[in-house]
Amino acid sequence: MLTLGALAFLNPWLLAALATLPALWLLLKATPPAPGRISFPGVRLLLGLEDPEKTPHRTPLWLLILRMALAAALILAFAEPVLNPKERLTGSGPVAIVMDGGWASAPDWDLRREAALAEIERAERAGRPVSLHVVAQPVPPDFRLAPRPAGEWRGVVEALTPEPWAPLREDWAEAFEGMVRPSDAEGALDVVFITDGLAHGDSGALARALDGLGALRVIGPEATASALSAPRLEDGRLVVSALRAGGGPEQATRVAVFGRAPGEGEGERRLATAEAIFAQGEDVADAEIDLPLELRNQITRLALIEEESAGAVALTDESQRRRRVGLAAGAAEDGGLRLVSSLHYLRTALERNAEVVEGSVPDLIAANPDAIYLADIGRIAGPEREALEEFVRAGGLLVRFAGPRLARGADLAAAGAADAAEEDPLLPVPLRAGGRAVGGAMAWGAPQAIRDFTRESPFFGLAAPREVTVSSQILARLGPDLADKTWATLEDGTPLVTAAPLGDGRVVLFHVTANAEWSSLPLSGLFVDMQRRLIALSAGGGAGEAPPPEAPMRLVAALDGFGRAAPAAGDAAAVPAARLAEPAGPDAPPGLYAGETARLAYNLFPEPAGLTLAPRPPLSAGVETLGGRTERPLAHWLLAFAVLLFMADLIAAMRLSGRRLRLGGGVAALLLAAGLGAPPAAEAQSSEERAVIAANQTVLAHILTGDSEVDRMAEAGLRGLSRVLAARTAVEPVEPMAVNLETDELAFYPILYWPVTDRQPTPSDEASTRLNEYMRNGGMLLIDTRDAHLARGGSASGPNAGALRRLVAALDLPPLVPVPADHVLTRTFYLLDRFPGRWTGGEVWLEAPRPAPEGEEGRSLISDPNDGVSPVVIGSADWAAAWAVSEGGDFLAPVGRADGLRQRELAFRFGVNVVLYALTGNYKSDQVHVPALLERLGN
Amino acid sequence: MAVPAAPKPVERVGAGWLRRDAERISGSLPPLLAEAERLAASVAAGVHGRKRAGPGEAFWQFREALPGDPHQSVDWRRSARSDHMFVREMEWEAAQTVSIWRDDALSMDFRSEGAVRTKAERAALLSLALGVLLIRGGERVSLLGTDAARPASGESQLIRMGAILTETRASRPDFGAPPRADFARGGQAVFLSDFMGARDEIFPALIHAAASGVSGAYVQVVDRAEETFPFDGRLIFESLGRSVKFETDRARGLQQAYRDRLAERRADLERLARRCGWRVLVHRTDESPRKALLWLYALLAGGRR
Repeated sequence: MLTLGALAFLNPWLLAALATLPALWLLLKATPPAPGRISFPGVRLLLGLEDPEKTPHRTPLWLLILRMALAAALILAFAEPVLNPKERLTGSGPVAIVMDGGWASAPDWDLRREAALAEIERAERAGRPVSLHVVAQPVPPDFRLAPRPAGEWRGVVEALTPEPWAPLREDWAEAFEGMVRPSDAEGALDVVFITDGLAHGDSGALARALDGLGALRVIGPEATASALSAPRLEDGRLVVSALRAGGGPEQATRVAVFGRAPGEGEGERRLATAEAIFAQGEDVADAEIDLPLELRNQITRLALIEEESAGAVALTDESQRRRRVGLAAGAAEDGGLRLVSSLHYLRTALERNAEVVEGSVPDLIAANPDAIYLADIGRIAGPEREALEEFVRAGGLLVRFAGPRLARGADLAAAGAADAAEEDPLLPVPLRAGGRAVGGAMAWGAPQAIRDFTRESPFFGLAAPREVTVSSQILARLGPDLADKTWATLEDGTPLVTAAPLGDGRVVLFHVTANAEWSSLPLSGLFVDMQRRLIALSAGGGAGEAPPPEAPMRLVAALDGFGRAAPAAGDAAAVPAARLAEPAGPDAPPGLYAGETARLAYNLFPEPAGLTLAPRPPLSAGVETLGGRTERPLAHWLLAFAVLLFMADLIAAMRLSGRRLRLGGGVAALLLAAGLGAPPAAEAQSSEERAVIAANQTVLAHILTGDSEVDRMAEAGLRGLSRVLAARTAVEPVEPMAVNLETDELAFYPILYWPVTDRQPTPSDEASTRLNEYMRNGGMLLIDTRDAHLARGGSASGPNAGALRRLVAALDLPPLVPVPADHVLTRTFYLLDRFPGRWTGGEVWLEAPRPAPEGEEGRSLISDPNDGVSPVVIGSADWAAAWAVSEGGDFLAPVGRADGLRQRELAFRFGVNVVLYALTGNYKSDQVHVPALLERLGN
Repeated sequence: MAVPAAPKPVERVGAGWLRRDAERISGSLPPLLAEAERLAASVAAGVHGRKRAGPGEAFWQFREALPGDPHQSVDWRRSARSDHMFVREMEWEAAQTVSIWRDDALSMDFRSEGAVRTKAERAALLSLALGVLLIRGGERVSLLGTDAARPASGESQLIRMGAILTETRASRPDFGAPPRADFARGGQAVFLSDFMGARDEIFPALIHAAASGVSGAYVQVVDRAEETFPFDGRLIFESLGRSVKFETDRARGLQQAYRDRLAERRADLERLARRCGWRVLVHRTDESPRKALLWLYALLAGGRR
């Protein structure tokens, strides 16, 4: 094989024939084309005539060049040139294919699989057995190469998925070195190592071991995978780091933040997107997740948008969420008297949201909690006070409840330090001596209810039930900043909850007891909600304590290699907590672990340390790049070129010999048609004309995918739908238009049909922004993954679902639900209960309807902005194909099993409904009120 | 039509045998004859423009019928006016003899691209149509150089001519020259050829014909390509019998010279014709044959009257 840059010749000796070209040149030059022979009666008249100009009998230069090119093309073609050549198999024995198969292989897994399949095919063609080893899988006992016929591996490779941990290179290096060598009779080995290009804590031992086995080729990716570190708290900010290897230029990457969806379901929704920018040459890029505390605590998962791998996903756990809370009641000197009831409500309220620790104050502080609750502790003694103060200043949250003791303590304070020049730092506000009782047998006033919480209060949004009343409270001394410090007040304006910052932490005081003695607050659900908010506030108080090293941790949700979380199989063995401090492996896959006390997110990258590139493979190994530059034989192109030249030569020779060929034009047309293919339909309309048409008339539009077949079908589909609309409804659209997301203005189109193909380029940021704008301003996207017939079980699982995720990654999509049975979409024009297209089945998703404002009867299934129109409808039934008609009105795609008339009709009905839904909004849902409105008008 | 060396036994199997045999017997004569008659009819109408019931219609005299006269010759209208039977006698007309020579050399088989007929076909058509016209007019016609060389009139001569004109002679020369036949003195002659042969073969024959005391016309039947010479490039020109060859490097360069030669040949023909009292017509195969036929018929009729 002769290699010239990206080009190689398999039969280089044939190139020697090129040396004969000069000889051929001379020969061709000397032998002009034979003259044409023509029978002509008038020949006698010609006899004796002299040619007026004597041209030498020579081949014209251009013909000479043509023929030389023909000869050269033939020689080159038979020398079998190959673009981007791959190493040939050199040995004669089995072929060992070694794949990394770890998380870093996941982003380009398809390419890897194809590469492996290509190697298998090559081995099969050479009739050589193959053995396949995945480094990420544990080394089997009694390891040896077990070559089998190449074809048998194909299914195995097809079914392979990457493992969510790093490849176990060290183990395999040992295994390869220690295994029984195949006998020489089997021939020399070829070893193909499909690597992810990263060093996973190894030092190239595996590559060296493989190199020792036989002729090694290393197939590495063009760009190595990047990863995401576990989120961490830095100065109260939540920070994650994107990691990459090998430095490189400045590069931006985006991190999506997912959290629990509000409401009952277990679903996830995207909360935010953060951007991390790698500086030039840096391997770590930090991104701050800037979210309100409430949302921040809902975060379950962070993921790099561009990458799909276990390494690009970081799970969060209690260390970011769940708090440890210490409870203490009474004073130390009251040892014998345990006021169980005063802690009972707190314990009950806190247990669900936090880990509760009880004990004396020093014990609590030693347990390193996030928040300490003190129920009616009046006086705090010197060392305890200092410890508490230190705890709060360090960022802890101190929540105190009033009670007789505190009131007495306030009395003492008031008596002692007359004006309380120095305030008690462990109380947010100075207190007035004595309690206050309202209501009751001996009082004038009635028990006080709680005012609605103000916007400044952390309790804002919680509903204060009227039946919660306060009959006794402790009062704050009036001060200029009292209102600022007040988080909750009673109806009469006296503070119920006050708070003040202290150092990095906060002190919160409930002016009532923690039990039901002074108020009914602890009895209400509000109490629980308030505690939950308070706990959420305690963020920044340090992470929860790690479980003891030997504590068994059970895997509850496992990440697969692509970074998708799934519930773990129940039979997974528990691992000791200490194992989770080490890198993940087959025995401890990354995921979410649950122990006795806490859940723990086990991420591949707990620390924000950059990735490292794998060391260079041994010099003797061939290095190839994965994908992209696939080996491309050029011989057939050259042969085709030679045939073309030959035809040209034929025509030229005929012309030279005077034979008139009428097929000249035809041949040219034929060549054009064959060579260039049909030129893309020219954009006849300028963008301005389009805009005028689209603005003045209703136009259905589809988004160009770049796949001409899909685009043609989409256009035909919209044409069919437009005709049906014009025939049946008052909507009379003109011919549909194609929209290029990157260049065209979207505002004119009420509805955009977007077929999803996996080869479609991801919209640029700008295009995504414009799509978001479009959706926000009342446009509607009808996204069709067209794969309902391929989906396995349930919706959104078809092969195009991945493409869909990629395409809409940057879109601001609302939470989606399958179309509810009584959604307005089912009755804008036709009454529908299913939405088939070319395929049946597959859910149709749209924006989750928002609950109706209070006061309106029934559930009104509308979503507020855009007049209740969901900005996006997502399905997979390939509606365009069902709607598609040719210019002449013939249906283009078969639908359904038999004649499909019914199904096609239903598809059209769906189309009509969608368009009317987009155009009329909630008009139809308002229609149900018409009788009532008429009645009211009549009165 | 070439007779197959070993005639196949007649198969009477299948439905088509009768028709096949009928066609084999009739040969291709009727189409040519029919075409020639159609052509002749159109010309006769064009030239004379009068209704003619038939040849020799001019009234000569009535005479009393004699025993032996056929019934059909009795003129009943005249006889009814008297007690005798009268026979209507026509004017006796002395027929002219027209000799037609159709060149059937190989050169006449030339047909350029785009032309419908070969020159030979056109010449045969013109010959036969002329024959039809003349024989219907009562003249005697002969086809020189063939079995029908003896002047005769009547349908049988017509059919004979048709047969000869449609069949192909076995050995034909490359270029043709009029035969040195015994022309009927005082008769007329029509030579249809391309006159592309060697000068010293053609002209003596023409002079011989003129010397025999006949007058008439040379019809030079040429193909379009022979006039325009639309060739280019490096070519070898061959006569159709491959006897003559000429090679050129650039045919287009010879175009003018060729045209000059052709014009010279025609001028020679004209000169000779003028000297002998003949006429020359150049007929191109892409022209309508009627034009040539009209010209010929007018010439011959003019000569007769």
